[in-house]
Amino acid sequence: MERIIMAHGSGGRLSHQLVQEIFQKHLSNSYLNQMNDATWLPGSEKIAITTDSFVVSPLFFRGGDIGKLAVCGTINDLAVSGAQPRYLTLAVILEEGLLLADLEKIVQSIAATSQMAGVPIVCGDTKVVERGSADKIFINTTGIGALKECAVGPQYIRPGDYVLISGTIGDHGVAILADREGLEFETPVTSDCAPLNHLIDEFYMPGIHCMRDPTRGGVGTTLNELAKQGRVSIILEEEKLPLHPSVAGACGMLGLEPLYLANEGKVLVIVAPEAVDEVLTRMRNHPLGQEAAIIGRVEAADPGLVLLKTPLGGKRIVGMLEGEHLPRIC
Amino acid sequence: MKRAYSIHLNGIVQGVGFRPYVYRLALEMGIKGWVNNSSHGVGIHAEGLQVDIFYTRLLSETPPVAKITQAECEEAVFCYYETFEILQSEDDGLADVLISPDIATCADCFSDLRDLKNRRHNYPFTNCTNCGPRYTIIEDVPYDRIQTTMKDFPMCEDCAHEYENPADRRFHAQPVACTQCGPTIQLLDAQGGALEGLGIMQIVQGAILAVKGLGGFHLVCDARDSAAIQHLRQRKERGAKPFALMARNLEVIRKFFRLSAQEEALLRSPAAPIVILERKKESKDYLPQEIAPGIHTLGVMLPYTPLHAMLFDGPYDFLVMTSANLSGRPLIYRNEEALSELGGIADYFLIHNRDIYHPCDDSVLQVIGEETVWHRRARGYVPLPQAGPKGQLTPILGVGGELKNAFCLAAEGRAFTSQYIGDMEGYENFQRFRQEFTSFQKVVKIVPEVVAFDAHPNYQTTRFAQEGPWLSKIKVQHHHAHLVSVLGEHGITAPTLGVVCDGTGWGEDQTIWGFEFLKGSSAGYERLAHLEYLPLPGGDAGAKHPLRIAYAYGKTLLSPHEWAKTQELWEGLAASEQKILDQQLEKRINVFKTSSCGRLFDAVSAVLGICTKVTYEGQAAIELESKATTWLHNVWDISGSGASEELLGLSPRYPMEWDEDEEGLVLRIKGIFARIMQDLLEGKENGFIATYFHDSIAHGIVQTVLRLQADQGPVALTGGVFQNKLLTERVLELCKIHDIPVLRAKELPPGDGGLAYGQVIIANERCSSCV
Ligand SMILES: [Fe+3]
Ligand SMILES: [Mg+2]
Ligand SMILES: [Zn+2]
Ligand SMILES: [Zn+2]
Repeated sequence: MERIIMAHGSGGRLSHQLVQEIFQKHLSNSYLNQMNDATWLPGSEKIAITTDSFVVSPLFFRGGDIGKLAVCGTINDLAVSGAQPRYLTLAVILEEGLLLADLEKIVQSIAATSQMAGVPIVCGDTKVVERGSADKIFINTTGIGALKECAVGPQYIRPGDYVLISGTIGDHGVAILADREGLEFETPVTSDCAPLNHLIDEFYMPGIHCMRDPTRGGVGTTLNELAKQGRVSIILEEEKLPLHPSVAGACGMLGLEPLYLANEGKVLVIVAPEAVDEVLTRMRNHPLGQEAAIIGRVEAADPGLVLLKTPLGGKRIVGMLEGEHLPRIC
Repeated sequence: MKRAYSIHLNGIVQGVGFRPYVYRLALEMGIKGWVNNSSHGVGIHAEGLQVDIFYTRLLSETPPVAKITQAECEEAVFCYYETFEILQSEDDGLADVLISPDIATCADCFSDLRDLKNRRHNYPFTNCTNCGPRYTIIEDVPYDRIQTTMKDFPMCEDCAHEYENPADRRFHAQPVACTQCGPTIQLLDAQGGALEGLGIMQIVQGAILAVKGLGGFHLVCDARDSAAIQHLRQRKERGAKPFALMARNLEVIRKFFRLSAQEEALLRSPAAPIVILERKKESKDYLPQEIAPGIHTLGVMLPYTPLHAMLFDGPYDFLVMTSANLSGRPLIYRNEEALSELGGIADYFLIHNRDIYHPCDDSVLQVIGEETVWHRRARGYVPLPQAGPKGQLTPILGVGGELKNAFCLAAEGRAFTSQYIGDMEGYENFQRFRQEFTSFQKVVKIVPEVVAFDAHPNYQTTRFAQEGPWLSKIKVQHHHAHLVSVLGEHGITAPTLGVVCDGTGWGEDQTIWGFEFLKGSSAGYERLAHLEYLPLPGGDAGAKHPLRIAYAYGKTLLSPHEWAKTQELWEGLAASEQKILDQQLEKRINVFKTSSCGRLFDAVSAVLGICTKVTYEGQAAIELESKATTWLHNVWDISGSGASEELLGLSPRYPMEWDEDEEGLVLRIKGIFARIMQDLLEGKENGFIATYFHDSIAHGIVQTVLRLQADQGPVALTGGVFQNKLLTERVLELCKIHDIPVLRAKELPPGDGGLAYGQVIIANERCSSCV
């Protein structure tokens, strides 16, 4: 089995070969093929830019892998900021000893995801580090997008707005946990990792005040940030939260809180009352939004708080976690 | 010789008939001058021949509920007054008068109520200077009718006459009222429609009644009606949590409960709290188990307002009287709120139009080791203060903990702990916390500048403290606060050994503490010993499934060989659940390291099959104690012995072991766990094992104390686990044998209800040392 060796990062023949035979082979497009120090791109719109680095264990998990994650993560960050993702860059740091076959699988996955999303990788970089200096592979992607017409952001959130989620929550968090720790649930959980730009194109319209992808920290943490930034409170309804039965089961067994689990293919949308039905209908028309739901409302009282209305009618405070969900029962 | 004195008295001197008392005494002794209420107590100008004797008698013959904490007397200018008068209150903005807690209806008022000829016959708001609402109706100080929710009821001529007549029992009783002028009751159906012509008692039969009392609403039904009780449980979605009872009188209590003189005195005290009493066998067929499933005790109180007494006009000896709150939400105290929130629970509403300003639950007490132990401190005790931190310069707020929260405001030598508020994760409870925080400041006239809070990063109160505008924010370790709370009540400032047996608290090493031997004072502490760390799978979710905790503890503590033999004990966990638990423990997924004492009791309760699913806080441990106590008492009944000494002996059946590590002594419980399982597998009764488990932990505590402290200095026992009577009394017996003096909480709960008081004392120490 061929593995990454230090020479793959030397800049010599092996480096060249690696780029040619793995990256270039799968990611080839007219921009990337310029092979210059910098790539020249067309366009004169207002742009949005974001960057993100990806480290995940395991590299391959049910529903995705680190490559797919790296493409989706950056595309989604652009898309939820109200931008049309246009170009991606790709920088990888490889640990000596990584299987070339694994690398190729990852790059194939990057290519497939970028193709599916319609966002090309336009430049890249590869470095190799000694065994132990990295964990198999680290990926950084930078994305450039063109800003769309109407602006979104926490400053536009208004009391009375609705909170929508494009589908079930916590799938990615549980899938990763299960794969990493070798947990076996009766029905396995698949990561929701997906590029959201097409889904967002589908429902993007005036009346949408804010969008976020609730990745690390989950819906709970993301909404806490929005409530603070937007100086509003958010009331969620527990019964309305879309939850995959296996995720619910896993959380019950392990004592995890789905609201704090990561998602990689979900968008939270905060939308004005007049647009909510239209947005929801359009969301549900897209394959990635079939289980979309209205999960809560924005209110003016108690800015900064996120509350969860339980089936018994009481409200529980969904706090911003500092680290883990620590026990409190005294 | 004629002289004039200017006298200032402080303490509980308002709203307790103090000025009339001064007036009568002055009249009797021919003293002239005046008396008034101010926001810093009672002021008196006394002149005449016998002012010295007057002053002495003034201090020694005070009315029953009054309490003087401070008295000053100085020579004044002789003014040649011709009368002695009660002057209007003056509010000079100064601030240290004590507000009285609410006081149960006095015997005189009860007889007015029953007297056909009395103009207050059957008037549910009868009160006098010796009894009636106080704290719950006060909006601001000084305590005057205009500053209470009685301001909406101008006195009629008759009442005004009593109010102004110094010879009358109602002289200057602020809430005085009668059928002509006072608040009125109304009976409504579930939809809020008025019901005419029905007596209170016709309604209660078989139904659930929401009754507005002194500090809030109760849900009430016949305590003998199992069906009604089950209904109430279902409608309230209450799980197994015990309901409190109100009894017609002491005689019926005596008939069905073991009642010591001390317990009787508590029941009859002006605070009229709920007292936790042990059921007699006779109560078995009389009071259904549904009132408190799986428990050998019941919380019982006596009627403390005329309205409550009138509920017993019907054929009932006991009524279920549970606080009207929905699961995880605060006590309901407003009419509109009751009608909208309780519509699905209550069949009828008995409301009245005197507003409640400070909602206040019933206090819950238990006599443990001949002392009163608070489970919940509220009506009848709040807002009485404890001694404040010594040498306090800055007013301090202690926000308390997360569960069973009460906060504390301290300044100028006094610390006022609020009434029990509830669990802070519930938003409505947290709102109640903020509401009471604002209104409590008015009553105690303390505006805090510094805040003390728990070290737990995710407590709601921690966030409240961190986000507030305080000059300084002081983080206090949970069990340190527990210890200092007790020391504060005893006025002890020297470093003292404390045994903190508790559920969970955030430890300094980022683990969950709960069975701690701390030596310390407000200045700091050393952790001398603790229970070994065990894995708590799933955190709080795990705590609701104690069998999972037992499984985790067992698997961790036992050797694979021993473990293999215990398989039949885990049948309560599905194979798939066991598999996930195995993986969870092995991979340490959402598993917390804990030295919790509460979780140990939970685990033992579950493995003994006593409680495997927790529906209210503390359930598993409470049922474990109940099972043990019942077993023990059965043995006593047979053997005729009362002393556990003879039965349990001087060495524990399940011995604890100790390890020394770099951080101190570690309590090892492998032996306890292994032998419990062995006994269980050999078919020993769970009551037997539960009893000997309590005994073993008691031995473990006392032996640890002896190892840590050879000089037999005092030891403070604190933390919520010391609300366990069986354990506590056994620890006390063993301490007595070894001559170890014991300190316990006196007027605050040993659980998290006493936390805030400890926090302010520690914060004060750190404040003054950093200034
Ligand atoms: Fe505690
Ligand atoms: Mg990002
Ligand atoms: Zn009275
Ligand atoms: Zn009147």
